[in-house]
Amino acid sequence: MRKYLMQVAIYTQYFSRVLLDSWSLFIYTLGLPVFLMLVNDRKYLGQSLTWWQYTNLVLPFVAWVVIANTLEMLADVARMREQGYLKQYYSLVVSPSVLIVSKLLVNLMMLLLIISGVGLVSGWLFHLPVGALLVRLWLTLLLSYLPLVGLSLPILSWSVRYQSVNAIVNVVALVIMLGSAAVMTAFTISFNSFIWNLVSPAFLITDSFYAIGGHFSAFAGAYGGVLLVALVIGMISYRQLKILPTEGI
Amino acid sequence: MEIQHLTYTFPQQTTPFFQDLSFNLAAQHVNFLIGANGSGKTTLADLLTGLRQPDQGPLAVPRHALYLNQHLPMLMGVRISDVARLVLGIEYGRPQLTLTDLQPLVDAATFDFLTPIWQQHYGDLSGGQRKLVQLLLFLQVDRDFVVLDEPTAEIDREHAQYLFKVMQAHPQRTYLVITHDRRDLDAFNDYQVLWLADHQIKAALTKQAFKQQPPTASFLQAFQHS
Repeated sequence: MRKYLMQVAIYTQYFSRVLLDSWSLFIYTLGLPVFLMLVNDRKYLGQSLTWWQYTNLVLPFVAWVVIANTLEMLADVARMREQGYLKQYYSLVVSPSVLIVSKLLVNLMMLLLIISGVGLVSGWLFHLPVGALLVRLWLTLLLSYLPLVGLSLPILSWSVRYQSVNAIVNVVALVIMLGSAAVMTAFTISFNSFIWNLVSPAFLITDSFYAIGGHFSAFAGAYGGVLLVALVIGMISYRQLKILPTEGI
Repeated sequence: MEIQHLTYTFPQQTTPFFQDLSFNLAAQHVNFLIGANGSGKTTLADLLTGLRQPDQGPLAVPRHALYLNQHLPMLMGVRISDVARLVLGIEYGRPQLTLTDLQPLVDAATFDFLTPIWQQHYGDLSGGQRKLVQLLLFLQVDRDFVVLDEPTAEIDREHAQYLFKVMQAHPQRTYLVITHDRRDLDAFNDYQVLWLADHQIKAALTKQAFKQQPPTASFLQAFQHS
């Protein structure tokens, strides 16, 4: 276990360094979500929003950032596999999960920074207590990240060629976000619905944020169920993890 | 190490790619695997290292294997000491590696090669040097069975000698070297050549037998550098 943790620590440090290698790209990665949030909610800039309004207006956007970044990080592992790098790493590390966990930890740190930026700017613009908002956003991320990862891991168990990885990840992210928006329009969704929180990570993130504001006991059952199913899906997907590239012999 | 009746079918295929493949892998020796592009050398290496599961034919080869097929992407800004940490730090659980830490972990040839460039940036090295740095570091990882897939591609002959010296510094290992370069064979006093063609090992030759082959022997076409 000590060796596993050490390997995770070394690769997490290295992947963080890769992320910070280009400062301009790093600032762009942090700044773009804040900019897009401003564009998305420009009608409400400077107005005082209630927590309920904030949940409906800003949280779907936060959900999109979290889902898109997490899918992209897993897509990066799939691309490594398709380039033949994963099988070389595989013979070095105690378990291929070392690489996945390291990548996901770097992604989590990146997401914490992004949503902190979104929280700071949106708290100030929408006249919400910034400290409380940041804590709610961080807790939302921590609560929803593990189920999201579990539900996204099947990507690594599919045989997907290098050229198709980006397309598939983008389609999955779009289906989740547009599908969730369509469902929201067509139905009245309860925040503690197990099925809808399982089907759409966008609902899970939005509902987690809402529940943290004082309704967690009503949400705990649905959350526990989603977490359990996501962990089972994640474990099954990990057992089917593809190490070899899809193409070529 | 006997490989007997190895059969393998690619997923979603019905016809086996390898059927009843049998050959001997010379234990604690260098085995060169040659064959035309597309003959299945890498697939065979994947099977031997456990990355693919055969349909039948249990493999009596050590599963504690190291597979080196290409150099991994690295940030150009990292130093060679960081690259060493990413390979040997991972293997030995060391978050930091100094030259003093490195010496007992590596053979003399590797230490000699890495010492003068230890603080250099990875991006300052030539492409061949970068590949060699990774190969030498990976070869310090303790494994019984090492597969090298075209290790000397992109490396000049002078640097390739370092690689061979390091391989010879670990004679207890079984090596399987996939190559298209006949000059690689000349670096070793003893070896076996396995020729893969038509999904079968068509020939398994000792060094002596290989040297006696006429220049017109068909398997020599597997070499791009003759």
